[in-house]
Amino acid sequence: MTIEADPPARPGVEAAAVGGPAGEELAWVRRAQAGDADAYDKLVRRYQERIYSTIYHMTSNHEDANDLAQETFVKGYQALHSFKGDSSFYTWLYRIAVNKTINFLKQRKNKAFLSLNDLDLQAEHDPDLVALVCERTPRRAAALAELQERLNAAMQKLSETHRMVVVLHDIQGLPHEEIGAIMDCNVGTVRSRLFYARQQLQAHLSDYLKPGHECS
Amino acid sequence: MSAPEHDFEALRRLLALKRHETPPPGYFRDFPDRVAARIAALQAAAPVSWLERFGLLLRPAAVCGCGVLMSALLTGALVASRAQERQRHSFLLASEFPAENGREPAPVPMNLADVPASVAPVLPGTSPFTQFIPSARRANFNVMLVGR
Repeated sequence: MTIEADPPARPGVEAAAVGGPAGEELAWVRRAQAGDADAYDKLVRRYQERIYSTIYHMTSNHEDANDLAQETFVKGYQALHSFKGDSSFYTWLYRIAVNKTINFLKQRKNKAFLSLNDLDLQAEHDPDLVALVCERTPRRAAALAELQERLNAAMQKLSETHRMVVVLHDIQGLPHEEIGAIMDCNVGTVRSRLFYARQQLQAHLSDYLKPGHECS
Repeated sequence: MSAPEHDFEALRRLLALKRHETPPPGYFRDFPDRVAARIAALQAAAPVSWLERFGLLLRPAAVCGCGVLMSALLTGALVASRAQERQRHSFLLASEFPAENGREPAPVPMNLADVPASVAPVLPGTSPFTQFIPSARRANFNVMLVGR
């Protein structure tokens, strides 16, 4: 297996995980541990989008993601006393979200029901995405919506752990090491899972990934 | 197992579509409040300690037990007092009308005025004043008044 370069992380993700406002965050955590609800509110505001998005991409269902994201933060609050600072708060919280989501999906087995969020307006102008659908089609939005559905259906065919690696790396932009810490496995396992998951996705989405598909 | 990076390039561009899936507008504005409400609801619903939970579980049983115990004590006291009274009456009758020739004496109507009342002192010296200080006597206030 070729060692791949990590994709550029999404803005703010690494800063919060590694350095940046880590001191401020730790102060919020300590205050929240002492029972300060406002401090925990700040932590929720900081991580709500990332936690929700990760769960949403795993479940492909907005309602389930909403419930699980809330449960993650409630569980985080209840277990706050057990946070010793061995890892970043961000990694610790992600671990709760990942475990909750994987347990939920195992219980829901074979009963996946897609409830997809709408695409934002920028999607229609994203050159990478426009290249995947016919640039000249007057129904670009409809083509993108169809592509979105196919993509989510293909994602749901992966096992929970393989899907999680794809979500955390290719969608959320986390580095392999961070994913290993979150999923409690080594970097080699993360890389091999990612490779296998991409192969599976490529097979499921081959129609869209063929060269010259765009305007055929 | 060899896979050049560019093999997955198209797939990675396709996966970028997922980043454009966004929840309804305003969703994240209300999210922290929903989390706070769930935390508050959990805190209000949960008992503080196992001891309290144990107490709550035992409370109905304890109330029932106390009720049964009190009833038993009252019934016991009533039965005992009746038995004592009956025993005292039979003793008085036996001492006034002893059995003749082995036969039970005919019942005689009892004069209740002869029976000492329960409020009359049984022993003359039961007053704590005279019991513990034998030399003490009641003050004779009449003498004092006469002396004037």
